Amino acid sequence: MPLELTPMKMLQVVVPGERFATIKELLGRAQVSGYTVIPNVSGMGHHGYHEGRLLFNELSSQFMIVAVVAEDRVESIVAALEELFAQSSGVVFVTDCGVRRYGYFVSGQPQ
Amino acid sequence: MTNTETLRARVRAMVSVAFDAIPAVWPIGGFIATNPLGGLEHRPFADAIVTMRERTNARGFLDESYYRERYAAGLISRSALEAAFDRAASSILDDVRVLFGRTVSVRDILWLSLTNNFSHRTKRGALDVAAAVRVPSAEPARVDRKDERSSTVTALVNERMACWCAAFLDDGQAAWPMPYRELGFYEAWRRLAPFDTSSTARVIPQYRALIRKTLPVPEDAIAAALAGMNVERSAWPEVLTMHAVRLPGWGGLIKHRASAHIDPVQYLAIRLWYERALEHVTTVDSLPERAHSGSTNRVGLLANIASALELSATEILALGDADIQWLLQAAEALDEDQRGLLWLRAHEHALRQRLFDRIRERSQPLAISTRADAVFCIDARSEGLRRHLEAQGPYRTRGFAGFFGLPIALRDYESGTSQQACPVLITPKHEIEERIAADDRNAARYRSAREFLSALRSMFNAVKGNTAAPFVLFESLGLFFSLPLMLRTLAPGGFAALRTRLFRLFVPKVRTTFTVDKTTHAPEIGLTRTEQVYFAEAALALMNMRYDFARLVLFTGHGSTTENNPFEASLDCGACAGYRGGPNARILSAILNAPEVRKELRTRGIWIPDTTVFIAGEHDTATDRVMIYDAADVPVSHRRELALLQCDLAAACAALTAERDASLPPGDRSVDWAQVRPEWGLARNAAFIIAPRTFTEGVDLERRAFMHEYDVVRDTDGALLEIIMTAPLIVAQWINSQYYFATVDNERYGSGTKVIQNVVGGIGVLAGNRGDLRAGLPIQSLADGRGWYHEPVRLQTIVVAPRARIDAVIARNAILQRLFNNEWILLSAWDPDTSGFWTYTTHNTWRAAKETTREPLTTIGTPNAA
Repeated sequence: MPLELTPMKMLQVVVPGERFATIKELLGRAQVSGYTVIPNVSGMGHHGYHEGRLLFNELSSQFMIVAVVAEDRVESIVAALEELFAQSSGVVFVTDCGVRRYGYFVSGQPQ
Repeated sequence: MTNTETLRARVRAMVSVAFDAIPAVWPIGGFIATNPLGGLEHRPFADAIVTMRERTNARGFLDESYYRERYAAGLISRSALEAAFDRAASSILDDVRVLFGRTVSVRDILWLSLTNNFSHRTKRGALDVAAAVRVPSAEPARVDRKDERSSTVTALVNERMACWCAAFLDDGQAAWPMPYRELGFYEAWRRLAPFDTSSTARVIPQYRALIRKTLPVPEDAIAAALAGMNVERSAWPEVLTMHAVRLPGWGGLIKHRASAHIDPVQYLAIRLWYERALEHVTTVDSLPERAHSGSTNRVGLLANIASALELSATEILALGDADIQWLLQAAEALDEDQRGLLWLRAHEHALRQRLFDRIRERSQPLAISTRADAVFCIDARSEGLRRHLEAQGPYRTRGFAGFFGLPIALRDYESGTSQQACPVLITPKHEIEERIAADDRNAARYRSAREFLSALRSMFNAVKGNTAAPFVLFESLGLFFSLPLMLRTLAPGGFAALRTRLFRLFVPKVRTTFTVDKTTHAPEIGLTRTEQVYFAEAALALMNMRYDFARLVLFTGHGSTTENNPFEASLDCGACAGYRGGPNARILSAILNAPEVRKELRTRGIWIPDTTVFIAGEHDTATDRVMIYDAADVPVSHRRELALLQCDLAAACAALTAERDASLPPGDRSVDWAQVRPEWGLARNAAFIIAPRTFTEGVDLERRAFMHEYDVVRDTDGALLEIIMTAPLIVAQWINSQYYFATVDNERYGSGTKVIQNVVGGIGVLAGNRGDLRAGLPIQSLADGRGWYHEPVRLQTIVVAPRARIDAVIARNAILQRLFNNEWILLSAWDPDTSGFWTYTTHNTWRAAKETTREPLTTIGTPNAA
């Protein structure tokens, strides 16, 4: 039997910790019911290589937030990120993905 | 998703970015120092100052006379001024003219204008009036009518916003709270605004009808207001930023408190509504036009040039118009901000040279044995205590962030509430509870006395807040209250001692402990063994302690005891979110005294001998006393050493008090309720030294340097240096910037004089009874009545490490690139590879620091100008 997956969008946002609260609020307002946070991520960016070793400074370390959202939510989230990234650092990747249990990812939607 | 929702999300994001321009403001009970210009750290320091001058007319430097007096007194050396001058003048075309047989260059005139008091006002009246006719004076600047109007509107909007914010954000001080608060700021305002009878409401035509028409969603209201004022979409972020910076106190507090209840979006929605409603109000135009005098008296300037060139009035008047014009332009080749920056750099250069010289010339005491290890907060006030303790005997002292590496919140045993006990750079990951020790015999008596006092207090407040009762209350109890009132005024020291004694009779002292270990009945509190080992390892690595432990190791937090002082928290530990640091010291020593933790640490290369005991203390920076906690728990085998340490600490404290008395006359400062200056706090802070103590031992750093222990030899990959530079250094830079800006423009960045301050809502102070929340330091924390006590300079950081190591750390941290390359922090290195000092210019380039001739060391009690 073929595996039935509902198409959704996966957002991967990488921002400095000082923006984390804004992103959380943005996702909350877009009624995203859950997301994964990876603090202190390392990697290469416009400001050089981030080692992800800042023990006592969350505001300057990089966070990755991974969320799976319904397609109709993407526009407002990406529009807001566009405004944020016009003034400060950060990236967002939007990719197609599929999920089982669609309702699990969308608050206020039937299962 | 609809377009409406997309637009709302955009507006919200724009507001979030706009609020980057102001720092968050914490309620005054947990005063957190921040850089008032933190939102501009991505730009060079000098540019940020120009931006703030344009936005809010704020000053970025002290008046030139301050620096000139220091130059005259030899505190800014000629070589320091020349270095700064060369840097500033490098961009100026050095034109040369021959006047009266002398070759004079633009740079000569500029130098004279700096070193002589070239005021634009005529001092001597030396020149003939005829000269005035010939000196072209700038046209009197007429302020644009539109600008004038806009500043009036801004003042009206600010007044209304400050009023609504104070009412809404009250933290329980008001007996009669603002109605509808549960609906959120914007909605509460919509409901109450129709009843507003202020003069602003009265000048808005059809005020009530307009309020009724406000949109229910604040994002929509912002978009409507901006569109209604014909602001182009591309200019929205800029306009929102202009509004965000107008009341930085209230705006900053709302940024800190942001929730569904109140946030920057709701705040700006209301603000923009007023702005738009007042846009077409005609009565504002009828305000009288103010006279503006934009012209500068260039005759005076010319007179000064003549005097500096030793030319007589006749000689100057014999010059042609072109030469006179040339002289004036030369003297004005740098604008006010450029000159301010030049003087600041000269001042910093001189201080840096003095610091380098002192370190170069230090004579290191030779320690044969170690009486004890003592670890203190990096706080500049610890430097004095460390120096005096080391003078008592062979003590090894170290500097470490005063939260002792514990990312925790502390639950108080009295109120049951939790407060952050680590820097605001991190969110507390764990909660630890302070409890009354189970075996304390006084516990029951203490609790019932506390409950009784609390009931008495709420009853008194209820009666006091009642409409009619106060008439009777003060008639009947007034006399009773007058006695302590007189005593605490006339004999503050005696009163405090008596009060403590009476209080202790009724409320006994209790012993407390911390729930460091996790328990089954409250699993959310405490730390697992693994977590304890992890934090202990990190803390010891950062303190540079791995195997060479003395028998006694003291961790010392700090706090300040003051009376009737809303700024009390500004004197406590910055690393502990503005609270006292004693509890953190006690918790870390409890962790390190646990045999299981030590066993685990041995597997990680940290060898604490069984004979080593950790103890905790707290340094009271107002009274200069060090209290040792839990002394009764110290094993008998270590009592003699403890007694010796306590004796030495007492002697060190006495020496420190004597030293501090030179700048602050002694007295009952910490208990006097009329005292506006209980201690100097971190005034005069100037440097941050990341080095082993041997690098500075024996040097008197005048309590002006933050110091963090660091040994590059034990930090092979730079990880420890990275932690120090991205956390303790950042907190110190916030403190340094706060002191800097509160000094150069106290009206804008400080909170003015304490004399007229009132606490509002239990969250902050106002000057008088209205206006913006005043978030910065009061003038009494910075000046001594004769002049500035604080010397506003940027934090001079010295790292003892190879330059390449420091470069590597900067290269991987955007925040450090911003702070060093834009000169918010000045950086130097003592490079062990070359055995010399280097100063960082920008972008990974270094210049070897020259050895200088000796300069006077005394800086305390020098002439100031404020």
